[in-house]
Amino acid sequence: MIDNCPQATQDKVKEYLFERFGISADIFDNFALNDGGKGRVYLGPKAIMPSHKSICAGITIARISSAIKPSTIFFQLFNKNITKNIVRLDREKIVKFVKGEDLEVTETETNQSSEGYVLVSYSDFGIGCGFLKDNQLKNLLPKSKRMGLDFY
Amino acid sequence: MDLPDKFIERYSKIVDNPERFFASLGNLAPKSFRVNTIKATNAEIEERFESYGIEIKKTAWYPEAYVSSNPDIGGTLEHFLGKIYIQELASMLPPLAVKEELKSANFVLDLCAAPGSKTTQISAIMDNKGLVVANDINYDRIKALKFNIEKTGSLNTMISNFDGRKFPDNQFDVVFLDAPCSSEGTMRKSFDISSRWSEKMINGHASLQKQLVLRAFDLLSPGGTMIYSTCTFAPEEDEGIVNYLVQNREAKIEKISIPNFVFDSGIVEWNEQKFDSDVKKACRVWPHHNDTEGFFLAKVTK
Repeated sequence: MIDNCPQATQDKVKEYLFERFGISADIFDNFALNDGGKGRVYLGPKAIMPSHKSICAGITIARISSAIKPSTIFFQLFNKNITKNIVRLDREKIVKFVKGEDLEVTETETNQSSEGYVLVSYSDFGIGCGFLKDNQLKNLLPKSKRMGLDFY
Repeated sequence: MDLPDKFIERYSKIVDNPERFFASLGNLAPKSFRVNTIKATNAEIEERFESYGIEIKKTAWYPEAYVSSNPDIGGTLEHFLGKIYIQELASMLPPLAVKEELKSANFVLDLCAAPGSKTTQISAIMDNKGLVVANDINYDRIKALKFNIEKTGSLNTMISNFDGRKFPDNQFDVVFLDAPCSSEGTMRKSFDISSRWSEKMINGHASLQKQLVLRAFDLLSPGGTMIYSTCTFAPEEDEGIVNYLVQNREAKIEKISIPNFVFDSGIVEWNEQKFDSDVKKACRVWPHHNDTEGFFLAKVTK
């Protein structure tokens, strides 16, 4: 059975995404935030078919444990709505990131991003989620999405 | 390609050009993909691929579908980002056959949805509005379905895990039944299909398809539209199933129009069995006509 996230959780996620990434809450207007179990938050359709054999509705946008971790697929879909905490990588580094490597990044690349989760971008593209600490970018691309890029 | 004698005998009777048909089964179909309009535009993809030096060609029958002689399109940034979806051309036909219906639909069911090629295409055509229920009986295949839904940003979807024959009562505006089948039409990429081929296998699938098609039709709302499709040439699994449906339900077979795509009409007689004359409105897709895999589809309204 799929249930909406409790209102307090919805508010917490929206507030975090606005505070940390500048994402306006109106992107959620036509969709629902659903509880995916194990701390997962899904963004999906408002009207769903109630059923005991439902697995999920929409896409995973975040996982909540001690902190809120945004998902790579959420960043890829809504990268144009993100205004801050963006690490911009060049051609050489983005290949390594997509392969799954952790990277050392420069101040120019981090562009005043603060410690925590960041959008990793290349050119105009939102590539995925990373964790920035002391100029070290930890790679948070899901293993299933990592690949070698031949054309980019 | 070594084809079973019985296979050759069966299809020589109903294909327009047996020589070209059998020859086509030994060649790989071209690499093809669909632009995921949730994340990208045709112009953006064309510009990016031009910058890579990868030649792509838009099909004459679906503006979002492209073919390429370059096998490396899977290594592009656009594939990584889900801006394109690598998909065999013929499998793009079912959503395209009801494109107008989908634009106004609120509640859509893809009864045998994994791995999600159709579901994600449906979602894009619906512009991420309404609801697409993507169902599959096989829990392992649902992983691939979920992966593709997430990669393409198909927000208007939900995944369920029912045996299609027992899908709970509901009323959908559009239902897709891309039925499990003997997969003869995929021989161009899966050469081993011919070594496993038998008429017994065909009859086994037909038995399951009959149960699925009735359930799929019963899940339609009055005035709703269903697409029945397979990737096989076997009339027992194609026209035979559509005929079984019209014999058992008040189903109306409709003509399918996809301009610039070459179809053959459904056959109305097979192995001395005569089908309802409207079954000829169904579409047979022979690989040598459009350089695709083999396919069958029928559009039915309630």
